Amino acid sequence: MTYEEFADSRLGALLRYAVMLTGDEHTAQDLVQDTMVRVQLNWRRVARSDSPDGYVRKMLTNQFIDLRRGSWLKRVLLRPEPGPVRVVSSDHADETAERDRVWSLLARLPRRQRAALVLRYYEDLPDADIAEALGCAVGTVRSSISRALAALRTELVEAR
Amino acid sequence: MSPIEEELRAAFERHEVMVPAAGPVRARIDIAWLRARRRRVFRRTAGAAAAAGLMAGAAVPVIVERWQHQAPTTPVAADPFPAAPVPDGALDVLLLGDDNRPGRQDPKSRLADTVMIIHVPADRSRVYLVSLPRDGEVELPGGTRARLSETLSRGGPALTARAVTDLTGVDFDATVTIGLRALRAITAAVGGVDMCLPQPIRSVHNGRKYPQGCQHLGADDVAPVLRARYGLPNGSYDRDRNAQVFLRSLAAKLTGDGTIHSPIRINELLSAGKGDIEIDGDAGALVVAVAQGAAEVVGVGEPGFRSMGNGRERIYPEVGPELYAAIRGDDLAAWSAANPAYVLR
Repeated sequence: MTYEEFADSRLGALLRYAVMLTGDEHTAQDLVQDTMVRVQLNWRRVARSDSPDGYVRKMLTNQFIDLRRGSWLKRVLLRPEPGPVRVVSSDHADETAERDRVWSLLARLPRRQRAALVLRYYEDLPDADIAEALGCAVGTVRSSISRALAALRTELVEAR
Repeated sequence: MSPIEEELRAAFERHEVMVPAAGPVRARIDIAWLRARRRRVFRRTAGAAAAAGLMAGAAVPVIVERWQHQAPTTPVAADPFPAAPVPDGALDVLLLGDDNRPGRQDPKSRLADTVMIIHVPADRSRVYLVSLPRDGEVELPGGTRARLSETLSRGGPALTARAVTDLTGVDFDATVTIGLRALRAITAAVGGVDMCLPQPIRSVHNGRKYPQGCQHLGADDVAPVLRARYGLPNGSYDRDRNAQVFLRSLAAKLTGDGTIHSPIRINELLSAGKGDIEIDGDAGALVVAVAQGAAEVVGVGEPGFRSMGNGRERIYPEVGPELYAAIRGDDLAAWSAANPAYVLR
């Protein structure tokens, strides 16, 4: 498989995955762009791996978990992370806010946990593949997913 | 499946509409890839010495990254593809000295006491500091005229940057706003700086006298020296010069002890100034570029008052257009050779 073929067939899926991870279309584009440049730089290694797909997913996941690349100064030192801003002005907005509460709660989870949730509930991967993408043991995947779900549940109950 | 799991699935599906189209992203990736490849070719063909110099700068973000991820440290030169791209081309940064002082009543009343364009030429041979007088009059978007220093309270660093861009035509890669507290903390963290004062200062702030000439300044001396303006023949112009000399001394200190190439130390310094430093733009690129050019810092400033008679000053009334063109065209070397009166060496 060439890089071109890979990009043709997989770019859309990677973008979807990145949007679910970051919750933001622009960050997702940057994430995918950075990852794909790395993919090209290391294409031979990617192509040689058992599953190029999984390999790239792992690269992108890692990059997301350490999203300080490129702007480490800003992130590490200078500014507090901007919190989610939500302006509720009407009943309709209220309803949307309620519906999207899960989505905004996701943003508060540790990145590893969020990634685990996306891999299981969006990408529908088996735990073994999630463990591979996150570079951890299957048991760790299960525990971090259940911890994330518990956190979401508590927050949702508190909010309601 | 539990309700929360179902809600999650639904939330993910609902947000699929946010996913951008692949085509434009593909194009962006191709451009980024070309750039990355050009850098790689350049690195491979550059002479060994040049490569070593370049690596020293490129290493900072890479090491920081590795250090942050607790990844095993490998020799940086072995990695031809540093994750943080080394910026090429000239770099322009707007540096604002915020006069914020602890205990001040209204944080909105802050003024830009120092306004400086930091220009790092594409060849990274030096760093230019071009001071703009804080009482200089600028035109704000909408046509009102104001002192440069006031723009900070009216619209924050963004407005100041806008006003300076409108005046000079220089687009900034980043705007850095720094307060005296941060400078004090950074000076403390580097163990003081050796600074050569062009003229004696008698501080009205701490009552101390600082003689003309070279001396060691500790953290407590930074604010009095940098704020001093009363009693200096050219008031705030002389103060701008002092700020340039201070930054030069600081740069000398940081290059001299290798701090500027040590991400851990840089992190410590910036953490020391935390809360009093604000950066808009690509800070990583800035550190890299400044580190590369910091060996020679050249200050540019108006030698004396250019009053308009209403408490405001004219900004570079004689040399402005050529000076700004030289910044935009990355030709400050020639300009400063032709205008030695404006240059602080």
